[in-house]
Amino acid sequence: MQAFITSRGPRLIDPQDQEWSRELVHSLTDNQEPFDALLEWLDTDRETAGQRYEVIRAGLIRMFISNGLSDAEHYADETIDRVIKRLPEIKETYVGDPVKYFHGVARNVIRESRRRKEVLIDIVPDRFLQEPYKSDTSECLSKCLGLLSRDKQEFILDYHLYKGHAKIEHHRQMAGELAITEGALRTRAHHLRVTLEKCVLECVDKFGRNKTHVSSHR
Amino acid sequence: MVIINSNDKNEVKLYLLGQLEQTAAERLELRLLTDAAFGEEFDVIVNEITDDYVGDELHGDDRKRVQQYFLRSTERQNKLRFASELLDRAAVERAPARVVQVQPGMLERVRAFWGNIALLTRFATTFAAIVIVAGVLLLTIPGTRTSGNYTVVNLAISNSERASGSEIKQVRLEPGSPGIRIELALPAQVPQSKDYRVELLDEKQVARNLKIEQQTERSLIVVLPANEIRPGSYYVRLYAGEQRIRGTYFFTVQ
Repeated sequence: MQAFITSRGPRLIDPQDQEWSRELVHSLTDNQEPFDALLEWLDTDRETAGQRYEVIRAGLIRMFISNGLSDAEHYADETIDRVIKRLPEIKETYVGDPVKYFHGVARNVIRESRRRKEVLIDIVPDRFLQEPYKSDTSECLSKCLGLLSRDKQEFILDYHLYKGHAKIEHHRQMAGELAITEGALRTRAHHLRVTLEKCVLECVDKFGRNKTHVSSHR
Repeated sequence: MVIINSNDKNEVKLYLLGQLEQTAAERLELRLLTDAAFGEEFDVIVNEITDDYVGDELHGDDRKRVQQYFLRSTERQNKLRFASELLDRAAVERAPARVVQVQPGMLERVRAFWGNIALLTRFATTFAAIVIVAGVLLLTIPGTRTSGNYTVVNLAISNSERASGSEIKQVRLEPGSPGIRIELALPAQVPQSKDYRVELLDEKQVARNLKIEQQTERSLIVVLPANEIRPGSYYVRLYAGEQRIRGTYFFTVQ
């Protein structure tokens, strides 16, 4: 894994990864040095610094989503860019955990976006559960479930059966059948759900882009 | 992934619903930026809230907070759509496979008892039963006639949440009819349940439960009294225990 500044922001990536090959062609070599400096600021050991960077970026995304900002990845990259730009000035004098600095910058980003009213209010989420929004998701879910083994398909659907107390009992029963703890069951279900959700959202996104492409040619 | 304690879990929930005070919120955000395992637990709680919302398990202020705060970002709205589809799919595809431990109902117990009785005794009992039923009918039929007959309508479930023209059954309530007797065909893939619940919604989405008058392996029969019927569109939703059965029954009263 290497650090690169890409058109989608700074990332730790595998240069062999096909998805990133075009990005790397456009990577700005001038920015490589500041990003290396950021990693060095996070930790003198590059491996540990890389891990810290990934945790910070994931945490920023969770923070922005939770504060109502759409396109949280963009805001996370914006935050990191700002820290990289300020780093030469603060590096020598800043006292404390660098994470607190990231947090402060992220809070500013949230405040600014609220001033620009980028945080949605008064939405009616029920409309998102109705057709035609559901049809693409349904088709993509079928497709993505089909990519899983039969066991995994059954596991993830079984895990999401029932509500309330029945669900708790059901999970206890599932853990017993699989001879694992309920905690391990929860973790297994979570990881599988994350994979499935990622697949479905990418598929829906592709669907949407194709539809836009088709309608723009009509 | 670590299991966080109930206090942490409660704080995450308050944060996600925008109810955590600022100092605690900042402390939680710093933990998100430093602790990968906590981040995963955070995601699990996000999924739990989403699932509870989709499954109608949140009420009052909590439901409102989810709508007005938790679901503001596009990412959460996409997550909501995914969760809705996943839970629906689980109910439709896996409920029949999992619901295996239902206690035998009255019908099954009678059937098992019946199977153990000698053939001659069965004939004698059947004959006696026919005589009794015929007698009861003779006594009750005049009463039924004076109060008029129920308007009968048979409905099949539609996979859609909104009705298209051909799916809507038109019902005309005859004068003097005591009401509408609705036979709801159970979807083939739905498991047998002892505790179905039938929910009727009118055009204004006002919901109420209908009493199940009769249940067979293939259908449920509910009655809608004439004095509770106004012309308009109606939707019927079916629940097996706490689990919503996917799809809706539609009809319009003229």
